[in-house]
Amino acid sequence: MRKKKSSHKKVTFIVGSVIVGLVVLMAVFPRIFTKYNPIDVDVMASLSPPSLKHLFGTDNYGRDIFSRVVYGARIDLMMGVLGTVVPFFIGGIAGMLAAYYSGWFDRILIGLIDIMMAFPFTILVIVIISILGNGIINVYIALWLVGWMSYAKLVRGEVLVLKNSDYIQAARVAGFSDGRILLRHLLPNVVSAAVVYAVSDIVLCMLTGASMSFLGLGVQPPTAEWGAIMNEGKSYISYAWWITVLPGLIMAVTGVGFSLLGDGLTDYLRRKGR
Amino acid sequence: MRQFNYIFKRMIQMIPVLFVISLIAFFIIRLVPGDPARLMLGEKATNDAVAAIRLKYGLDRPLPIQYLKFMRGVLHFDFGNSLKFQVPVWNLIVSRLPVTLALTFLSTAISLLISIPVGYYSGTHKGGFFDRLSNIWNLTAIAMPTFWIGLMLLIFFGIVLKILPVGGIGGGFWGHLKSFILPAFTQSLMTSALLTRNIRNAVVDIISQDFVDFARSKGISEGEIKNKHILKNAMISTVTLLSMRMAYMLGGSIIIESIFALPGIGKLTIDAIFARDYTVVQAVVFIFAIVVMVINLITDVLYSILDPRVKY
Amino acid sequence: MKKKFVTGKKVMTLLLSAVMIFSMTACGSEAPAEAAVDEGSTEATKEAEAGTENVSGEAAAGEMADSITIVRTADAAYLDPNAESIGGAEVMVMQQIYEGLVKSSLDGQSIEPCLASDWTISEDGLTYTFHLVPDIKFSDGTPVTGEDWEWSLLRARDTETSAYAFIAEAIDTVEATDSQVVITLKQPWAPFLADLCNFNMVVGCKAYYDKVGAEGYNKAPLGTGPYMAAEWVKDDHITLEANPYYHEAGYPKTKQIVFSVVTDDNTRLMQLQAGQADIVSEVPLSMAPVAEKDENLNFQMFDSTQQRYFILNTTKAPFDDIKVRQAFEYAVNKEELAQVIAGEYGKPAASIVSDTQGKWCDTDLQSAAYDPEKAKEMLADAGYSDGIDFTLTIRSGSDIYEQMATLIQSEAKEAGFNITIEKLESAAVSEKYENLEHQATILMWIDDIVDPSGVCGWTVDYDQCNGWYTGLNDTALDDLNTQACSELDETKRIEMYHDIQQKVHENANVLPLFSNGFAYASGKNIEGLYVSPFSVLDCKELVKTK
Repeated sequence: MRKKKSSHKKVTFIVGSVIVGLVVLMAVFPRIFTKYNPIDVDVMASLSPPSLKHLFGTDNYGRDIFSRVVYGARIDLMMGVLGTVVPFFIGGIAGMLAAYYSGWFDRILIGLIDIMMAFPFTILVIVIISILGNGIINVYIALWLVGWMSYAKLVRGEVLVLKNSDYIQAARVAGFSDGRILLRHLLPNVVSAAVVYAVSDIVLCMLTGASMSFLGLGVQPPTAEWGAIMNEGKSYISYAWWITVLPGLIMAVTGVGFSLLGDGLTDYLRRKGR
Repeated sequence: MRQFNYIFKRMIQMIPVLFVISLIAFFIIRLVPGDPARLMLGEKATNDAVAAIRLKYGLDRPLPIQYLKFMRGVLHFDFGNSLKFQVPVWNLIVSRLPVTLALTFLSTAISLLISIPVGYYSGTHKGGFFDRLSNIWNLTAIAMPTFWIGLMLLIFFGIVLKILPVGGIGGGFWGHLKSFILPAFTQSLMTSALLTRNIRNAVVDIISQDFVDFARSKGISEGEIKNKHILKNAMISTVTLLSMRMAYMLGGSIIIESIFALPGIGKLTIDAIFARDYTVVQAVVFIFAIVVMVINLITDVLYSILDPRVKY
Repeated sequence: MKKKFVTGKKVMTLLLSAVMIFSMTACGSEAPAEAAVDEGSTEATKEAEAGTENVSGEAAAGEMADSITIVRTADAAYLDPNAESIGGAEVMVMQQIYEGLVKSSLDGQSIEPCLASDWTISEDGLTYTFHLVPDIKFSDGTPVTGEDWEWSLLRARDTETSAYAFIAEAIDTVEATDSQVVITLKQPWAPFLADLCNFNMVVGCKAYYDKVGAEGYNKAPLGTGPYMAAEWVKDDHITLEANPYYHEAGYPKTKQIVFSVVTDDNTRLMQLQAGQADIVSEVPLSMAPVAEKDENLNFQMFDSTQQRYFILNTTKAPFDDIKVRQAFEYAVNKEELAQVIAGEYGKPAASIVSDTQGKWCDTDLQSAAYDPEKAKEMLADAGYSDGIDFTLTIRSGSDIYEQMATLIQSEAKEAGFNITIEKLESAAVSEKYENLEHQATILMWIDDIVDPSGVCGWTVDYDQCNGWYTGLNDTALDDLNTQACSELDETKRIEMYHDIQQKVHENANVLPLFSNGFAYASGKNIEGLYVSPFSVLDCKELVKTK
């Protein structure tokens, strides 16, 4: 029974890795996948359905949708990864320091998080992008400003539990410096929970970023980005379904890939932890 | 009594937080560039008219004074008039809130109806075919873009099959219900997946714990163990998760509401942000924050009822 | 007129609606429905329900349906013609409720009598005397008095917060009795009769305004038009009922018109296909092919004065150089723009005045044909042989602007213009225009009156909006425009306006791109749908057969 389960886990992990690997490849070397330029307008070929020439068809400007999806991978992947990694560090460090030293810093941090978390996530992101203006950099900043809190909360909780453990107390008694205790003893123990969360967060950040451009915020035209492609295709949905359906499908598959990968990773970290 | 004290203490603590929240709600929309007076007048706006409008709505007064006016209104349950719609903000909220609440509660109900039986069955039959299937489905549902799912359902049921309305809130009871099916289902996808996974894992954890064996050894019947212990314990973390999701859905309704053309709070908020309708945005953001805080408070209280180990 | 928008009992209503929702989710009984459309009082709720029933049109027997539903993108914010924010959404409803002394003909070529049966103009062009049609009543039965006319026209001029006060600016005095209205002007003003056709030069009821106040008047106005406001649920729908005292016998033909708001383009058309709606206004041009192909629908394109323009800021590099501006005209493919965006309904435009304005448009003007090589040469002559980079700022939320920007970007690239598109929200964008911080943008214009003074003044009268946000202050041209407004000889006036159009073309600060019609789709059973070139939809002719 146990063996069967782990082999099944292995399969999903492999499937996840392959999907994510392909998307990363698209993001890094888009030229391998398509000969078209994603922003080249070809009015004569506008709104052609999927064919061998245009795998995913073309949009109203005659731009090749497949090439737009391929080139869009870079931005969407960056939104997922940057939107996760930066908050991971900022939030993680803030949470760890706050929990370890307690005192005023901890109180301010917790107060700030309580207040910020009371605002609806989506509205906060929209308002921040509106303040900063459209542009992909501003989408990242908005994701950072709202994303770090979960990590701070998570890491803080873990550190609070560990801080009073016999093991850390022993390290203190032994006269180790704070820096050493934090880096050598606390960090390795709290990082796995944050990593598990981060992997699922990649998908969430990607989805949030794409939803913003779907709402017309975020990336500037004619930049290829998955949410933006779908937004542009929305007006044509009743007779040129491919502009909306196919990029969304790729996005969903990418998300599932990350999910499977994250699931496998969680399992691995859990087993290692025990 | 102790619980009452706890609630009281928490509410006292909320006061300074509320103050900061009101400040943020007031200032955040004013940080966004763009003059509401110019927007109201439209493309054929002359400078004189803009100045006259700013004077009329007090937009020319210093910000601290505008803030005090906002706060004085809040204390009297008066959020002023919407700049864009020219009706009291409160009336707008009252007319839009039911749509968003209905959407949130319907999708919560759908999520619970799916996740409790599925999560429970998966947990008690860990590793089985059904468990694996549900696991894969959950991973998929979490990772899919909501707006895309919404559009796909809309195309399929609205345009291809033509059995469900493509937007709006319909007429009559059945009309409303039909209009809410697709959005509520779309909205519930991710929540039900998260909940199912959570319940399943909680059930797995609890079954492997000693007290279930202990209960069993004391001769408590299997059915009773299931009902009393496993489910109750699994519900603790589920309640926390659910409250987080409900808070998220209230705010996340923006996307669902704009895809399905539902006149709810989310739609109102995004329109107000774009129109720089200061009075609406500050009120909605402020009220949202209070609702989220109340949900959190209720969660904590529920938590303490479900889990007696929690100390005040 | 009953008061429909009760604001009291707020807390109670919220509690009630919350209770309703809870009971609904708890036991699946009655619905979010009423709560959803509830504006604040139970009275309004009942009427809303009654309204919805009528909308479905099941009640009436016989040939014609009682109610017609028009779906559109946005709700009106005000129904007072002198309110602060007036756009197409407001005008469409106000046109049904109010009437003025005169009106534009349906084809947009001439001016017709309305509440004035005839009129005389003094030799010096300063005094206008209008003879009123007798026995005109407001929709509540109150007779229209001379006092109402004086109050209405002076209010149009003196309301500082009105964006359209300039239309009435020429008025010096108004003296009216119950049978005639005499208007004296400050100086001769040639477009005055055309101005009187504008939506804010209409008669309203002073006594009623004094009674209900500005806010009440905005929500439930009183006019002499074929319809009157019956119910208004903000951002959802406005229901108009036939005016029982309307002065033209036999009109309006349909008892009730509902203007319903559906923001999503797809949804609007789908509601029409599903029979939930009867008329869709402003069908997005991207969806015209669907509407055209659908055999169950009528798709109509009405001639319009709507044109799109490329605006070049002459106070900033690179467009402070007239040679660069002139070169740019050759870098834009107007044919392609018109074709891709409006299909067979798009027409490249050469003059700032729409050719739908007939004689006022200078048809001798030729627009430059797309010639990237020539543009490149001209750029090289101007000293930019390496090409030019600039940012094109557009307003977000408009598919057409975005499409135009994308196409122009790709066309102009061939000619050495590297365009970065900057999409900003309306609010941010208007601030930028106002301060002339943009380099270039795309805007549009729809004339409101049978006269070219609107768009010409907007382009060359620097005080109105800095020369249509181009920052070009051509004083000679400005003076010509002022003269054209007071010139009473029509032939001379036409010449002057043709001159203005040519000079603007030479200045190359405002580049007309293309024009397109107004797209409407309706059910096969709808008759009498007509939209004027000024985007006026006259509902009194509308009929829905069963």
